[in-house]
Amino acid sequence: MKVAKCFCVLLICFVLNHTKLFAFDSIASRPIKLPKHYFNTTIYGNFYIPTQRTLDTVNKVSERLKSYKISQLTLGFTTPIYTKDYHNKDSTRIKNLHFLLTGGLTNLYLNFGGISEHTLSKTYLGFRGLYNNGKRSIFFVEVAPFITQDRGYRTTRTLRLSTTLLYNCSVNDRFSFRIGFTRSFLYGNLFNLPYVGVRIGRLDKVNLSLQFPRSVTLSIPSGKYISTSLYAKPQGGFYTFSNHDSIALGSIYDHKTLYFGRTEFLLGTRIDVIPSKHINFYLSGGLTTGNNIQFFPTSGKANMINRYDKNYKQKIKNGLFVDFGVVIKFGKTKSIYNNLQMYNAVDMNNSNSSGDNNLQHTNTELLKSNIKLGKSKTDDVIDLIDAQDLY
Amino acid sequence: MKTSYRYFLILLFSCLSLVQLYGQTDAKRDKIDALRTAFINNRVDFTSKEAQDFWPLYNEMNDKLNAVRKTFRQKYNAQTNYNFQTDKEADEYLAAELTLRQKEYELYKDYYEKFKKVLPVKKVAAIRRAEESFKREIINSIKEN
Repeated sequence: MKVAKCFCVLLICFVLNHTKLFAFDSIASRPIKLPKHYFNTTIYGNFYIPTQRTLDTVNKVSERLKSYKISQLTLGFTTPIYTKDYHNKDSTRIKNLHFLLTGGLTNLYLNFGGISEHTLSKTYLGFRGLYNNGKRSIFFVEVAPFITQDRGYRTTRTLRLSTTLLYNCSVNDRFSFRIGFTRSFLYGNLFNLPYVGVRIGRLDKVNLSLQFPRSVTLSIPSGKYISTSLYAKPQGGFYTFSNHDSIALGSIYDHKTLYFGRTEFLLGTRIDVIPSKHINFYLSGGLTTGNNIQFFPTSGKANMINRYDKNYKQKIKNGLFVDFGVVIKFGKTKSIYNNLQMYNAVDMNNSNSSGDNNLQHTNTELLKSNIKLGKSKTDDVIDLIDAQDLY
Repeated sequence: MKTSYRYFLILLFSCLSLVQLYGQTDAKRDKIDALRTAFINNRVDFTSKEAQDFWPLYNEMNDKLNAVRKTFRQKYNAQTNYNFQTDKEADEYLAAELTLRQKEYELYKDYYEKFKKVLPVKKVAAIRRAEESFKREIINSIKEN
């Protein structure tokens, strides 16, 4: 009975609202609907593939594995869930707090010539918070728990956690620095590392960004639709690996499950095509160096300095790689034109990809200096013009 | 692996279609806002402290103005028939337009006071003059097209 009453009330409200019969439905009484957030909902995809390489024989594990070929597909999203503006007493300063939900999936397709193919996946759902104090400081926190698994082998599921805490100080529009901490598996093992970064140059112009341990990037915007960059960054992960076809018979590597770590340093160049601030594609290529793979026994836990003890480590020759990605941004956001603090907040959000993936997104939200009007219709600009302006 | 690629492509094309649909709605107005901001920035000489304080306020004011105008536009868009069916409808339209002007006036008044707290009053006036010049540029551009 109660359900029926509720249903009737809701139905009446719906009809009144949609037929505009509410007595209060006038322009004067309508609330002003502003965009809620400063950040767009973003979805992104990335595909990375380096060349195949043979393994130099070190021991019988290398002999068994033979060669090393990988490719990596990443799909992810970031969406704002809560934004709050705080004003000082005379409302001349705007501080803001942002909470975002992040998530995604990374599949590493691993093909050693000597054993069957493996798909090592990482599924993550995380939380991100930013606080801009309206002066010079921005605080950033990301907590991204993820599950790694060798696809097809449920027993290999392992829950892990990556986190990043950052403080950004914008000294002026040409210089900012960051300090913080990151708990990351990017270097093929668990590492708790300090985070130190500086940016020299304006975000919307040529700038050099050194962010240890994440990346070194020289960004060169080249025209309205193109942005290029040179970069060096680590890439890798720590996965659970099903040893169902035994990588070395009669040895410690016969555990049913092993941990697998990989790390590499990419030296590359990237070209971004930016048709609008809602979408951009990029193509990147270069040299992959410092490649290492490692196997760890699962019986061992992280030690006092939070690293796992490895059993097998193999250096891999340098190679070439290609990386392709697309970033799509949805929704209307609050304006941030020339707002230095929000430019830095946007950069922090874009340069710290969720899920410990170390993917960087271009700052398409920033005001372009070479923007031109082009063809306009009266409808587009009618709000700006009064009748007397035409006399 | 093939399945993952397929999902990726389906997702990509769905998203591109959505973005294409969405992008057409507000892209031009966003561009005008961006142009106006760039125009003012070129005409008025802000110190870095002034810029840091002023632009968040200016963006907030414009977001509010846009929202107020959008509310009005949604009800009385450019294609509205000039022949109102009843006196009541005509009266409602006039009242709505006055409300719009009133809200715009209140917003300008409120934000001019805030601007004066973070900028010298001469610069606040210069910003207003730059906005007027920008309007003239827009009108000229429409005339040329």
